[in-house]
Amino acid sequence: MKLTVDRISKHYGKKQALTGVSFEMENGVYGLLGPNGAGKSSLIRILAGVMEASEGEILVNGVNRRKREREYRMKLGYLPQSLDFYPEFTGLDYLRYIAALKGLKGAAAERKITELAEQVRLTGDLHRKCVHYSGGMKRRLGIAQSLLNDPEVVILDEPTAGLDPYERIKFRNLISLISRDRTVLLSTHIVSDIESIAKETVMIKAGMVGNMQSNQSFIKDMENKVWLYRMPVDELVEYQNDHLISHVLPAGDGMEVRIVSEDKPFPDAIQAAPTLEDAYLYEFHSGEGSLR
Amino acid sequence: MRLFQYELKKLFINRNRIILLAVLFILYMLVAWVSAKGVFELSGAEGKKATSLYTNLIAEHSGKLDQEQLVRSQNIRDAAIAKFGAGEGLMVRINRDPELKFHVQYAGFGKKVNDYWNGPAEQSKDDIKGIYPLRDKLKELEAAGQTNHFEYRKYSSRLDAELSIGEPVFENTVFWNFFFIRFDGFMIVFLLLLVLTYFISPLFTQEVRTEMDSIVLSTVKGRREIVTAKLLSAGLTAAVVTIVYLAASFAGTWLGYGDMSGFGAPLRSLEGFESSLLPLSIGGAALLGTLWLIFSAVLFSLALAYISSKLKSQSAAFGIGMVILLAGSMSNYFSSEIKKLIWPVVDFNFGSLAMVNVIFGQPKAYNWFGLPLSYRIAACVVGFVLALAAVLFTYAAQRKRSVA
Repeated sequence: MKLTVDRISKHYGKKQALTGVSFEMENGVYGLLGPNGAGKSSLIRILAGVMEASEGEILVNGVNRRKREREYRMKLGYLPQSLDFYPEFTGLDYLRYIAALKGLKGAAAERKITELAEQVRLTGDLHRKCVHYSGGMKRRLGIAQSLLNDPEVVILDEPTAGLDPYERIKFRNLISLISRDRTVLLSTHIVSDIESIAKETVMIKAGMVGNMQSNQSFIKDMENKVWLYRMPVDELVEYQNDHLISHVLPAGDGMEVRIVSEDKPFPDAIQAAPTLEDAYLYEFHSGEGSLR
Repeated sequence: MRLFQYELKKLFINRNRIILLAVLFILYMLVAWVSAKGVFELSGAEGKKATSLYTNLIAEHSGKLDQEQLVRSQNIRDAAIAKFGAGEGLMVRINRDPELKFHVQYAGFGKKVNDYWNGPAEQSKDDIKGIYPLRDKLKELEAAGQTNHFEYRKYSSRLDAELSIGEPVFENTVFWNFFFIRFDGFMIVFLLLLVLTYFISPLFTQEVRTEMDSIVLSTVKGRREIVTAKLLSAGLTAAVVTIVYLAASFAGTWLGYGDMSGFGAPLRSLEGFESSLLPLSIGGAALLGTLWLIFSAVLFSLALAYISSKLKSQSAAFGIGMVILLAGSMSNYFSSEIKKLIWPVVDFNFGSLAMVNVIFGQPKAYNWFGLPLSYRIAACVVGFVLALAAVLFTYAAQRKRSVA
């Protein structure tokens, strides 16, 4: 399924949350990267059909989503940022309830629930009340519900928020696994999540997005902008106030500092290989980054 | 069907709500038991003996009015009033003396029969009652050539109904008098509708609280089918809570008084239904009252569902539901001038619509383009219209709902 976001804008009263957002997605994991308050959740909610855009449209295989509302929802899986559960429901009740909401019936629903429970490693806990699940289990239950209808488009809003590193890695692997034959949009402010699994990423800043491009492309754009330099601790304290520093490591009696800068910051600074995190830092915090 | 089952589980069929319902059953039963137990202010064997004597006296004199007995009872009553006074002094004696209670009641029955034929002592010019005054009024209207006027039609149909129901009879209706107290407005508002407000108010707001709104609204059945499931679950919850209320009240009344005599007696033998134009027995009225109360509880639950769909917190939904309920009920206590101005609110608020004794116990009729429209029919129509509006508005609210 090809999903086209075409000049989407959203305002809440006088506050402009999104301005003319456009990009396309078709199969694979796509990252939506941006700081808190950038407009990620607004965009995600519009894509999930739980909020209306003020302007613009979403096209599904070139046709306005409104004309294919039911078909779109049949093929959509959505995991919102925050998720709580009904206190009366067990994990199994919850999945059955969502299956009913997604129009799955009888044996087909049961088969899918069993399959997904196994996939997200919740088989042994399905009969427990889901309010008693750990954060990681709740997230896994969340992803299971989003996949119940075998969706072609999966929208995940900050899915790894609050998870410990182990759970996060497991979760990323799971997302990778499910993305083989679907379009997955992963919204996050955790760069490493996207770096590991996203095919292409779009950065969002103050309600505006740049071009959807591969992580390698973002990294390539950062060539000659990342530097390593060793400096004393006293100097670092002052220096970090008005420079972008992506990494600091103790080195001998000083500190090895990774600096993101257009120009060589010190004559004896050494050029370093850039990462997506450097690109993120440059884009959102340098004051020079412009969304392309 | 699956969605309906799960909505029901969220709203009602879960451990906490079932425990609450069990507690309510006991509470309702206790309230009814305490009320029915107090036929006389005498305890133990003395109380039982008094109740038994009183019941026997009623049974002995049941049926049409016996003029000789009426005279005896009036004399005994008048002597008691002369001795103890007409107010509290007499009441104290009545509550301790089964014979006096019987005679006072029989004298009252005599007045009912007299009112049936001659109308009340203070006859309202706008609402004439009694066979003879009705006949006189109809003759007067005929003489004035007003036979096609609303007033003529109203009194004519009232006279027909009065004649078909016939003269009041004396019956033992103690049990049913106690049971029908449960259909009183105050009881219904505070013991049933407020409880329902608590049960139904989280219907939609719980999706906001659990942040499930986003998932529900993104699904293919999250805009329309879920509303059907929620409305059905709200309606069923209302019906079950009402049945629990009435079943517990019935059980409590039975435990308190025991004797269910009067089931087949005419409805007019019941306190509060003396002017009713329904040609029903008390048993039939109990069944009708049960069905009507379920209907009005379901209607109220649909209105609550709409309120819940428009709000984000359960407490706000509960608060607004309570305000609507109490404001409507309080309108009955306004001065008659104000009541005339806001009569639709007074007559058709959710509290009034649930009052079985008001809707089925009065000969009230509205002028519907020159035709008399009884209160019960009007209440039925208004109830259905309100239910339909609540359902349509709830569907519309969910269709427009978004997560901000």
